[in-house]
Amino acid sequence: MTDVQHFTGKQRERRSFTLNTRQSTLLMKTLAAIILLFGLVVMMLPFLWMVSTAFKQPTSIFVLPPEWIPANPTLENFTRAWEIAQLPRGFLNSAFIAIVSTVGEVFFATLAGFAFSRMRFPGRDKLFGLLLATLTIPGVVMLVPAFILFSRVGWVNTWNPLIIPVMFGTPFAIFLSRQFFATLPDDLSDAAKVDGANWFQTYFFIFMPLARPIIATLFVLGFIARWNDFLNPLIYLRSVELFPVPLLLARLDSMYEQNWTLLMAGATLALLPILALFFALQRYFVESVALTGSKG
Amino acid sequence: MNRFARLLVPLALVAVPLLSAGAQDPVQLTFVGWGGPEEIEVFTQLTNTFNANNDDVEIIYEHIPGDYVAALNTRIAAGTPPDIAYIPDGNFYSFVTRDQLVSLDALIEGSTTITEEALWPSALGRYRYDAATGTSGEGEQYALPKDIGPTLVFINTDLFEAAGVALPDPNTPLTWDQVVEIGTQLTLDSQGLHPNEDGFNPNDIVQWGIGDVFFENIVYGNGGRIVSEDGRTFVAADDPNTIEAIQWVADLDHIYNIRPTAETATSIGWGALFEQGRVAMTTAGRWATTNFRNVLPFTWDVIPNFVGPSGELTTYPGEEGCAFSGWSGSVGLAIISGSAGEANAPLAFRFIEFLAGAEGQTEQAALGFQIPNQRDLAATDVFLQPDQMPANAQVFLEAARCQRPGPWTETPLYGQWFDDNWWNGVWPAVVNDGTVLAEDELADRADAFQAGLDEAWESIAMDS
Amino acid sequence: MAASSRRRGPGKLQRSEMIWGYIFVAAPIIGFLLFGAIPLMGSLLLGFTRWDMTGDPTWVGTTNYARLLTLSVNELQREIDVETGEQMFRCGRERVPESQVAGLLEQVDPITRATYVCEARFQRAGLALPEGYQEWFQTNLFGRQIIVGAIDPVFWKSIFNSFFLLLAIPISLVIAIIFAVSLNQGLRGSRILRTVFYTPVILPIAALALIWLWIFNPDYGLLNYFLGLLGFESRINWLGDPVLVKPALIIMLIWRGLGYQILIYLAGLQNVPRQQLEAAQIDGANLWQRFRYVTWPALTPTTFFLVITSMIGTFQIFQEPFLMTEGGPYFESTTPVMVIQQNAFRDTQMGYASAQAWILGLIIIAFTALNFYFSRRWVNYES
Repeated sequence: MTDVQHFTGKQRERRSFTLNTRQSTLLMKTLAAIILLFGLVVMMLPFLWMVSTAFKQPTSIFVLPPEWIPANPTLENFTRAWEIAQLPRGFLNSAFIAIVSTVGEVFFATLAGFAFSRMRFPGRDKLFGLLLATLTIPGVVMLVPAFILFSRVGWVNTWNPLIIPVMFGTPFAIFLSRQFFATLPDDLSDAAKVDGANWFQTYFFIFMPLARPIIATLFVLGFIARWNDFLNPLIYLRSVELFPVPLLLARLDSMYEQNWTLLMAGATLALLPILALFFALQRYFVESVALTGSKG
Repeated sequence: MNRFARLLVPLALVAVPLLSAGAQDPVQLTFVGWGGPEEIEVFTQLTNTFNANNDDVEIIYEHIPGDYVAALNTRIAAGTPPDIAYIPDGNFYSFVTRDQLVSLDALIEGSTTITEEALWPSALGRYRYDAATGTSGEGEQYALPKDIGPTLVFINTDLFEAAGVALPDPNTPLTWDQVVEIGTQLTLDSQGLHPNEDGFNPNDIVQWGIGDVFFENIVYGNGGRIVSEDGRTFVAADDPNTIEAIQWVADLDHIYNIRPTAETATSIGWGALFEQGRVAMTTAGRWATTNFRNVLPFTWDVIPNFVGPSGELTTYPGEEGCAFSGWSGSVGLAIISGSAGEANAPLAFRFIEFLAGAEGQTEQAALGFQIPNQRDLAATDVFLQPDQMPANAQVFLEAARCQRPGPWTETPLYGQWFDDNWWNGVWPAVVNDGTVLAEDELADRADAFQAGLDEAWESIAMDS
Repeated sequence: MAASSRRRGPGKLQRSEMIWGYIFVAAPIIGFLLFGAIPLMGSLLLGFTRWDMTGDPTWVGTTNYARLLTLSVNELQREIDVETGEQMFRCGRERVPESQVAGLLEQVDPITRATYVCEARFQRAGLALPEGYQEWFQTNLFGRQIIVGAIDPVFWKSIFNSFFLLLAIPISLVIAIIFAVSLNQGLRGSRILRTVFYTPVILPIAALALIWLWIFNPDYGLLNYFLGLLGFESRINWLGDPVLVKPALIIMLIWRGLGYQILIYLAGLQNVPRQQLEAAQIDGANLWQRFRYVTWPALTPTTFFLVITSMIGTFQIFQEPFLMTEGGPYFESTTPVMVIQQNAFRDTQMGYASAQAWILGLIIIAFTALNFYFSRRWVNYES
């Protein structure tokens, strides 16, 4: 705030020399377009190659110059991947695991993130530090103790170990929402307090609507983290009926030979629904965000 | 339940009721393995056949994708092991020294379908362990071989014909000199020049004479060794035959220019180089056959592994008259200690017997991955499959007889003490980069190898 | 932080705030006690034991930690020919006495196809190091060849590698901000672009590894192909070269993580006060000034979050380098979690692996704490 005032005051005299608002906006948009176009190419090429490889015969992968459009395209990789990996059921399993766990995670994490940033109570920062510390120990060594714990509860070969611990809110999500709430203006909660609202009402009616961008972001991040998880399902699940997509895709990797074309076809298939979901959802989390943003 | 698990339970009691599975009738036993789609299908079928013919036991087949050994170890650690499991020969040591496998001696003795004499000695021997001396290869039998997978040189016969090179005799191994000679004729740069011609550009090779060599095969083909017979001493640095073999592999890249450099090979993959017709000869295991049959667009065959100038061979102990050597891989079938399979060992063994017996082996051999564990069956069309490539499948039989288990079956923690020093030390310097002679590098690192090996043995002694 | 308004609250309000605060954080804390604390304590305890994942762990006190942390610093002597007493040299791959060096220098090394390069040889590492130690690295100090040995040099190397990989974070954050701000201009097609940028994050890791193996392929890879188009005729061996492998991994990590960072920055950008941006623009502030004095302060909490989580993520990176290089060459791309994973599951030394994990955890905690400490200087909460 002070920075801005200071700076605008100093600049006032030079105003006539600078671009007018329209020109400046135009310049900015052009610059943005150039940057984005460059980014598009860099980000797209590897991905494009993956999709084109999925249509190739194994012998035409390594050629110079790179073959972007396969000379003899084949659908066989896709049909084989679809058959072997039994993807439709995997999609349902993955979607269930990811949605249920992430909904719980986002609800409790935003609530806690709010408390950790905007409320005062003894031990607040210590509790937060404790939660954050769990992120720092590599998961591989907690795998076995956790597995022992969950097998005692009888949760092996169920989705519970994949869903329930996440539902309580992950440190990662709490941290992100804490950072978000901390940036909202102070007077919001003051106003609520004057109205006599309790903290839950304050949170629910004033802060949560403003938190839509972060809620949407958390949902997408959480969903994808669960969707891509390989190690935990591998350890806990045994029946193929329960397998999520990554475990099913692992069947394409036949242990004996790296099968590039088949794997790329499988990966492309696995990517499509989640890409569609992301594309559809982002309307809510970025564009509606722009509205909320201007209110704050 | 082990003590560590018990230690956790009081902590967990806050929310945790203990569940225990009641015994059912018929006895349910879990069988775990890995493998590609074809293998899953065959084993699902075999399990169904077995269950249909046995009322008192029901086998539940679980396929583990991904890191099989990690998943298996986690279940064992939690005190919830599967009953019957694939044990890769390279991990046999680790499981048997931790007391995780049930001895099969008594069960084999009482068996009517399995006799030890019918099986390849090299396949059986690698699943023996003598707890008193800590050595593998002798003592009690802890697993039966599901298969045996020899490694051979696969050749692209189309490339041989195109270059006008006579096909090697399937019964006589090539010598190193012959390999260099043939390999030179089969290596071409983009101008069509061979390495022995003027103007040949070694930075622009489009076709190589030779691809993957399993270095152990070269060492064994020259009578060399990596560890001593008792597994206690790292001998590669003192064995002139071994040093000569490693140096020859390095020279294939850097002196003769007939083998792709490491960077080309690791990024494309040896298998892919062969598939694309860019290398004329490559080493692979029997397990590559299924894939090769599906994808190779050219005629191919197998020939024996090469033999070195020393005139000596390191073969499976006790096998006489071997023309060539190398290593063979195998996966064992074992009953896991502390499982319901141990309590119902005869039932669990009946299933292993079924898989390792004639019916199971015939089904598995049809996959092409492996050679039946039974010698007689292997010599029939069940395995030879004369209507399919490779034409000289009988070379695999000689290989199965003569080849040794890999050195990783001979010492504990091979993946730690050997792999670390070798693949991130000796190999990149001597073979990939060619910046050091094998003799010097091995001498420089011999202490580190031996120290690691000593420590590996010590850890076995401490664990048991 | 959000403290200014709290001064007004008398006792009763504070009590209610405290109770509500505990209720709000109850779920994660309970979740931590149920599912986090037990495995965490389990791995801590295991770090003081030997445990091969069967039977009982054996208590060994601090042995694992001692084995991990002890170092030995020694000097390497020059190598002398036993018979002639001459200094030995390495020329190309040949080992020769000093008297032959001059002759070789005029010849062509068959390996490099250039003239021989010779350097003086030192004695074997094993002769200088105490028993049980292996070489971590060598360095030349004041003309003396110093060798640093460790009982477990691979772990030390992997930690060092992680520090190097941290370089990816500032680079990718700068790129991510540029892209996020550009995407936030409301240009047509931004929706599709956001999806494109996010795709690498969703990509299954096995596919990601294969794609980048191809990009870095010296003969057929995209990177060398483009360099060739730009006139640099090259066969750069990105993943096989001990010096280039880490920069190559950094490029891959940036590509993979960019979409995630952009997504979070986009959410953060919604907090940039528009009135101030507009006011600054009317006042004639240029692009950079508007960014520096209005946008950036509002993005600092987001940046701080990304720094912390990316740092934790980088220290724990495992699958990508494992699938692409298996840690080679010469352990130059080995990461700590790769070492831990192999010790735990391949070599079934769970106790030792747990000790390694806790050392790594403590390093991460130390870095996180440092970051929190310095965050006061640059992170602006509230507007």
